[in-house]
Amino acid sequence: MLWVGKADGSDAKQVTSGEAVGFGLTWIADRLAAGTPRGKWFVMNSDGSNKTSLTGDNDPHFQVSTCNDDKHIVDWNVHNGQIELWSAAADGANAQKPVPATLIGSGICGPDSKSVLYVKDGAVWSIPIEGGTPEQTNFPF
Amino acid sequence: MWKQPLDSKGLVQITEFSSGEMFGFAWSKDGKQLAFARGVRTTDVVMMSNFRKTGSSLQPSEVLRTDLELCNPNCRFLSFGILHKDVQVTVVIEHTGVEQLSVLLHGAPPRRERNFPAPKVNVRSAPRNSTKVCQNSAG
Repeated sequence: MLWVGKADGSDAKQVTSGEAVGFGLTWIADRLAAGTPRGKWFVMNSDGSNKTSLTGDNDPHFQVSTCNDDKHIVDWNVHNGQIELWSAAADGANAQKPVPATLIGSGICGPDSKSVLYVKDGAVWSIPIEGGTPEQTNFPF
Repeated sequence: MWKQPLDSKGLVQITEFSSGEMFGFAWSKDGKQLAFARGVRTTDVVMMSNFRKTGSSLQPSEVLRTDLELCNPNCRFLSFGILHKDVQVTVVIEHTGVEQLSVLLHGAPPRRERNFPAPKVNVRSAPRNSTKVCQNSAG
């Protein structure tokens, strides 16, 4: 169950009940995104209200990464045994796969909120969040 | 949960629960709120006998992990985890053959490595369609 309190842990209150959530947890602006054990993600207000689905398909999604602009998210799922990297609007709309190739690891939103960083072939790659030509970064790996 | 400055001084406990587990946490961007997930893991034990292709109610998407964790000395009983109705379940299978078991494991090829040697016992005779699932709530 999800709890929310002050930054020092005080005044924490349980904000969800019923279905287990929190197996993955991140903030999207002032709303909370949380995953279930099945990899379904929901986004809700910090008091647990107005809970809506963030991932609309039946595949398990993992590790939702919120872009710094709070307008985009990046996550990955497993579809037919393959890892797929996705980007979407903060509410889960307009989901798309910027990386067409099969991955072996996850990805995160880049610091500019316009790119997705992911690992492939022993290097960190960057690709525009809406898809395009990947570029190898100089990040050590 | 505990908080410790990067200089390793001043360890502070920030949550204090006497039960349950902490599954995750995240501070809000403005640093004013802390969200965390906590709870208690509950598991059921499911016993299935004479597992057959047509007798399973489990769907591939429910398989949480396919590594077989237990194998008793004669390798007749195996266990693994699944998600069943959003509850993590440990399944114990009294298996009757590698092929039948592999159907449950995402259609993966028969596994004979390490913890899953080929069955060493004969199939116990049992009526067809005798698969049964017994669930005991443990949490």
